[in-house]
Amino acid sequence: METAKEQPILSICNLNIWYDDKQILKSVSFEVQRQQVTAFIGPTNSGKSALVRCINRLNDFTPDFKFTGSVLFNGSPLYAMQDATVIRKRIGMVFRKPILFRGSIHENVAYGAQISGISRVSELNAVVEKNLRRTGLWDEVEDILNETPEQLSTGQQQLLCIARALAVEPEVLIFDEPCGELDPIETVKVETLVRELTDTCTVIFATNKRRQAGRVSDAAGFLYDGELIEFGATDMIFTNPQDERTEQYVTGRLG
Amino acid sequence: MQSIALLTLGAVFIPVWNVLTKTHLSDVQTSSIARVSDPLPNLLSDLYLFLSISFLAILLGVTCAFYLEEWLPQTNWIRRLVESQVALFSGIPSLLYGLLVVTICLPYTGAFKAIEASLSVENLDVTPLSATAFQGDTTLFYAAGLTFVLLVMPRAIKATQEALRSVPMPIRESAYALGASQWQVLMKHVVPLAIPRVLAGGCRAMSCALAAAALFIGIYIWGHTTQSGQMSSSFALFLGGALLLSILSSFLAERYPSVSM
Repeated sequence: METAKEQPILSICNLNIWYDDKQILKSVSFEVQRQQVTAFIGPTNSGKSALVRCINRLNDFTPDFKFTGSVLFNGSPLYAMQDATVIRKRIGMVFRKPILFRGSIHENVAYGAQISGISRVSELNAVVEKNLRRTGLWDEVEDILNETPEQLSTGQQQLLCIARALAVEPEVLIFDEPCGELDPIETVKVETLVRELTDTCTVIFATNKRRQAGRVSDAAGFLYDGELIEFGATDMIFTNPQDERTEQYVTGRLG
Repeated sequence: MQSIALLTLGAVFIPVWNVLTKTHLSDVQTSSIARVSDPLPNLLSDLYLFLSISFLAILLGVTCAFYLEEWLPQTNWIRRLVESQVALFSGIPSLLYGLLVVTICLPYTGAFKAIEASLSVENLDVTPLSATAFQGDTTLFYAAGLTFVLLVMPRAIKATQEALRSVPMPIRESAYALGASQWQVLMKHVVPLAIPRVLAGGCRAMSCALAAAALFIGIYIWGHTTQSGQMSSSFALFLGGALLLSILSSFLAERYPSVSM
């Protein structure tokens, strides 16, 4: 049991990704520790999205996607498993834009639980309340659960999407620039939530805001032009980077 | 792919050209349509034909489009073949399909009648109606049915494919990211978002078919004053139906605009 705890939840080794003939990631290797926030920073088009989409196999839908290297999830190869939906239930994802489904606020959150097989109304209600409370949205939406989520602010919508992803009870939750569309106050809410999530899941956080990565993460990696320039503890990346390009990026002189 | 498209084009238009140059349209029409003398079965047969065939053609077209779009990869040869044929057939003006009835479909109806005889479909409920409607002769029934399928199906496939493509990728992706299977995503997200546009496309295809039929009947009435009484009921039905369906189609398109993301 002790050794299982020590084992990294994800270990990626020599990962190369191509879309069509364009190489997006070049020989990326790193490990993600359990119940930590691991952030990836880097300018636009540096391969952050391609990397995180590789972790929950969303790249499967991209035509002409090719990869080499190994992706181990809990020690077993992620791409050897036939059914990718099993993987995606355990490794959830929240996107840059809050994507609302048709139906009410309640239905949106319950959808996550329904996917994992819960169908009894009382259980669904409990799941919805639990996850809305967890994201801090419960007090604001308690009275409008059966109304459309479109009346919510963008920040609230994003929190709703996080609640929906949490309702599946994933082991790993990936955030792909979750604050790209939010104002500073909403951003703080999401960041606080991300910190709190680490008591049950492992978080992978892709962002192009350097300071945000500094605030939320335990470990961080700097991606530049498809290469993982540096990967290590957040403190080290931000205060004592080994590579010149990392230093230039975190101080704002590059990218 | 293009050579196949050209071959099909040739196969369709050479007989059409022969008819256009060698026969008079009115001769062909009097020989087959003028047998109908009583307006009621005439009207009934039109309705029966139109409803049953377009329902089948649209159902078949929509299913086909779902399969092509959701299950086959873009590079699959079947998909490319069907898409080239769909592009070809939906590009042919619906008017020309009227000529198709007499040139291509009529000669092949012998095969249908042979199948019908071997299955002895007369015992079913379906045939008596069509048989009474066409006064014992089902040739025209099958010919018109085949033409309707050729006219409606490519348009239905095209409309459905466009409707499916209009469902935004982010919605699919975020459902997949929660662990939904392809079938769940299709049922819960893709179909509800696409269905109004599929219906609009289906209505447009049916309206096309009706308008073409109305035009032919109109031309016929104009040339044959003796039978105009019987034919005009069909003319009114077809023209009215075409108008109604095109209005319905534009209403659907306006009421449910494509989802933007």
